[in-house]
Amino acid sequence: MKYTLHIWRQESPSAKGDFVSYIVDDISPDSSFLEMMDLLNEQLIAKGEDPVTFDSDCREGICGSCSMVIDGRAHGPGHGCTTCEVRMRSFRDGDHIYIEPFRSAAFPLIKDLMVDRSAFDRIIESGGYVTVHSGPKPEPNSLPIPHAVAEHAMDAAECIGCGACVAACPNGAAMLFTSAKISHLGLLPQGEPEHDTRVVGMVHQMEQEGFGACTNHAECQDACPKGISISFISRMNRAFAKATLREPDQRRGTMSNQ
Amino acid sequence: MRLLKFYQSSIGKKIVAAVTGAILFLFLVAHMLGNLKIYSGAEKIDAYSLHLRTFMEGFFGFGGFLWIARVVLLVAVVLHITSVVLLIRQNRQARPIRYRRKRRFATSIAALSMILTGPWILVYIVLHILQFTTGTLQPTPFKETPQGIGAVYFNLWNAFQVWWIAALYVVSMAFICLHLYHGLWSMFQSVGWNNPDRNRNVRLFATISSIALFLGFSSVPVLVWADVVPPPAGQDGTVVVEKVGVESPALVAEGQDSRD
Amino acid sequence: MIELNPRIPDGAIEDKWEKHLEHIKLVGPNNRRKYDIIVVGTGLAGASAASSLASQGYNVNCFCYQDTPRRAHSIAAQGGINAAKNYRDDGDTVYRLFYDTQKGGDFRSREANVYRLAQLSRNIIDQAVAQGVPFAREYGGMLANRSFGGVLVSRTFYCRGQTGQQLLLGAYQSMQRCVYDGTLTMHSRTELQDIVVIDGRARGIIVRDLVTGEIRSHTADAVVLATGGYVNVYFHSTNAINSNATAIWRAHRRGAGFGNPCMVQIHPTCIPNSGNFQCKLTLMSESLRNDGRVWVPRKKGDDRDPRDIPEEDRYYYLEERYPSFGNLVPRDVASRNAKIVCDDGFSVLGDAGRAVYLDFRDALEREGRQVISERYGNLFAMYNDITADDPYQTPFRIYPAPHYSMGGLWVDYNLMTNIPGLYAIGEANFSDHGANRLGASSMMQCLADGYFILPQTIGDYLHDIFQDKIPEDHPAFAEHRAHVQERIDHLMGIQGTRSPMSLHEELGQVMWEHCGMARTGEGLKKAISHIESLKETFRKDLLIPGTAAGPNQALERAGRVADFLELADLMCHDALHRDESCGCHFREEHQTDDGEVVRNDEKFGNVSIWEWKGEDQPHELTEEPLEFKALPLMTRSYK
Repeated sequence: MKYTLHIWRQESPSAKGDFVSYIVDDISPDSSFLEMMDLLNEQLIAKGEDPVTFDSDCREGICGSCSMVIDGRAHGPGHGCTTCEVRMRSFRDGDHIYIEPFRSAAFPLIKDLMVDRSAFDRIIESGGYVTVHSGPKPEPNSLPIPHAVAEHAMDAAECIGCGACVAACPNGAAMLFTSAKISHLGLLPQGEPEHDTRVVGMVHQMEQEGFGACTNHAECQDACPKGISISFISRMNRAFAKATLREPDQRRGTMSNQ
Repeated sequence: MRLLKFYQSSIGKKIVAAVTGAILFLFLVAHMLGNLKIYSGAEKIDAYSLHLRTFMEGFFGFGGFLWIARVVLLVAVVLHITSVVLLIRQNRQARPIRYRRKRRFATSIAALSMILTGPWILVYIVLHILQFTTGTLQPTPFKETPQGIGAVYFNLWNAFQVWWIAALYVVSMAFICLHLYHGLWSMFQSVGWNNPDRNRNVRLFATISSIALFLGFSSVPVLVWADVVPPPAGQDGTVVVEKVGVESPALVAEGQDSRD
Repeated sequence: MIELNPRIPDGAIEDKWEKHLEHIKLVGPNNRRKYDIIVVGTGLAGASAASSLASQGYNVNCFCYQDTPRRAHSIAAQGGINAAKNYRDDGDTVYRLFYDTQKGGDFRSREANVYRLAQLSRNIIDQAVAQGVPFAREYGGMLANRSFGGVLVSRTFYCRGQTGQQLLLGAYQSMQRCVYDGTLTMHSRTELQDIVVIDGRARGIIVRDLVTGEIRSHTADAVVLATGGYVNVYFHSTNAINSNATAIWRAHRRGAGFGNPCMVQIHPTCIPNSGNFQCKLTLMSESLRNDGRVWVPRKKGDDRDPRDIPEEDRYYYLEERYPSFGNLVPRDVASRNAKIVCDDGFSVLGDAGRAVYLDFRDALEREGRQVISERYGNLFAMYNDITADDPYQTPFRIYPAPHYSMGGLWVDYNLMTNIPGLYAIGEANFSDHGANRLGASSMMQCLADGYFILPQTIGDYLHDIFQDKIPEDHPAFAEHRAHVQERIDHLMGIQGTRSPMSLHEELGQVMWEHCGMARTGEGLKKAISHIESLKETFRKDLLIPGTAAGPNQALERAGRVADFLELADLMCHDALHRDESCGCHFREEHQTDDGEVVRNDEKFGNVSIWEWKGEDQPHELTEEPLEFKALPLMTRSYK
């Protein structure tokens, strides 16, 4: 199979970028999109040209490194797959394929198709955990968790942190990512003690990073390789409203009657 | 302080937009039901208009209740628009470099066009108030009752005789319908009342409500324009002889003047 | 000869760890912040160690080459994690887990370490649940279990097919908590280039910033390597495309002994190689063998549609040869048998390639599509995406692929290498899996090392070096930096014609052919000479475009391939030296009539530890004798 690729090339964050066209030939329809990119890079290296820089690692759809927008779709054609899982049989022989990096103010471009997604780490850092030290813990079966709750939490926990939700969102919002972690921990009893500080902390950090706001287009859900539901966003909204507006349970300190 | 923290977040603004949107939606429902009284005849609808002013008159005074409602609506509109404008600004900043090629897969025309239908509706509401409430704009004959309020039946009937006014009205209603189709569903999603079990019903509610509002509102201009709704008593469509008001000839003349 | 002291505590095997903890030296809470610890790698081992150390109060600097620590390849572990909880009351005990692991490893691991691992396995589940890892639950709310290859009990805990992901995210989240607390500093997109050893002690590392290309040094009181395994030496493997051996190899070059380098596991259930474009092989969880049946046609070259092949023409070779374990034999046995039937000409791909069937027909009939899809839905979908075949209709086609390296840096009972202050944990060390690893025990080892062992044993070393700081401007750091820079400049300067990937691929082919599932003395010698010439090609004909000042993935790869070339050479030498068969190391010269491994415990009941003696010098061998007291040596049989 033969394809014409139009790939966003940009030497550095400050350099001017543009599409550069390449032709790749003899591509097996069974090869993955990134294997096709590998072949392109091999060709470029053979010519002494700078190969296309892009993130990838596990190549089986779980690490979340892939960060390409292919033909206007985050991760490329198909549902529930990352770029590394896209097979070339999804394209027709002779197709023109446009490849851009994830675009978001919070994901500054590093080079070509490589972006910096450390904003996600900082969101997790702001509350996306249960604070526990390492060491002996109570017997886990002493805290029964209904099957359905565990499964629901797992639905949210499947997030791979790739950022396709941000890339696909017309507003560049990171709501799906943030809500998935808030919901994963919020649904489980282990996450209860820190729930409110988590929600407020993570949402605040999300805003600080410069992500956009949700206007309920559901593009994120469609692009998410793990099919994470926007119902978690709804859940987060409610949790956030409660956490910020609710009267705190504890009002500590003594009070004088004078 | 807590409210400020709430509103500083985009989620807070969204929820404010959703709640104010809900208020405006409820107003629209009431407004539409009022409009439908046109089919009960001029007396009924004009009496209804008067009733709105005299409702709880003893407590709020004449028109007092209506003014309270107006203030509430105005605040809702201002908050709705402010929140949305702030969100749009945030969203613009979130993607300074746009995609060269981007396709949409999940969203709807309604959702994508919120940013267009919103301003259109705002402009339309202003014109609508100027035309029918204050009578500042009088492209067609306009009349007031002795109580100093618009003669609803008369004014509507005359206005919708003009095809482009009727068309403008219908088109605006279509935009409101589109706005609500996304907005009503969004409202549940934004405040956190949506979930996969409920989503079907929420979606259905949004669809049915928006279409019902559209049909309810647009039926008036269409049926008036199509001469299904009878002219105000004593009027054959061109000359205005009224029964309700007293000093109407002058008003009519005035109205005609302003049209000239 | 390296001085090796395994520091195995005295006493009965079940008391060793407890006794050890009682006598170990500790660092007081108020002093911990005065220690700088470097953790390289953020997989299960690295992330759990970094978070544990940081939350104890040590000042931790953590490094990974990925853009965020959450992407380390532990995330791809699918099936589950073992723990001797005995929730099913099916006879599971700590001893049985120890027994299974030791026997599964074919008696080439250190008994005391394996027993400790089995003991700590239970704490791991408790810890993970406390962190909010959403393990599968039964309808009554209790933790669910499944069974896994090579054992007779159900002791595997799982989160759908993404157990590794969830465990890693648990550890990663704990790390981020420490970042928030300020006790942990994360350095992403940073790759280790060298270890700084001063006066025989690890004092820091040299790294390259993969974004700016800057070479930096970091000082520390202890350096922990948690950089995973090295099976990417085979090019086609189930590891992540960037997984590499650079950190452990650089440590090895600085004096750390390398234990059992030839011990690598070839995982039986992977999607077969289907063309030269392929860059990696995709693993399908071993749990598929719980319900799937492995077979090949009885007739050679039977090219009928598998669905049309009647029962009597199907050769269920695992079930026939291993009646008691059947399809659940350990990985090395399953892989080797797949190779044998394909060698004998029964490959279901005919001449086009090598593969065997893994068939769910019977399971689908028995359990129904609903149940099977609940258990394996994601794996079926993944297979369908990759091959465009529907495993609900036709059997999977599978073939083994390199998956895990049991070998690694030699460590003592405290997980310290022979360089004081340098630790190796997780897959990067050699300790617990001997010659073959059982399914669902790699995560167990990583987390036991990271959460429960290293954070306690590291104090034993740190206590002795209190306030013995090395200044940042010690000349050794500048020297090491210059050395690293030189190496990079050299690589960039070759300007030949071969891309790093093409050289890597060639190396992989050599290794797969001669140092893969079956090895011969002759083949290994061939491989060694081929690798020699490949090294020469690399030195003369490498081509890296662009510059080193900025992101350059070809340069990154070249550095990794350079280390793989040297490591491959050592692997072959080790395989050649180990003139026996054991576990995954199958020397064709040593097998029974029906193709089972034949160990030579007399001569090789030990760990081979290799010492670097300098560029182009032969490695020097030291042996650590192994004890087999708690579980006497036996012939491993799954029949």
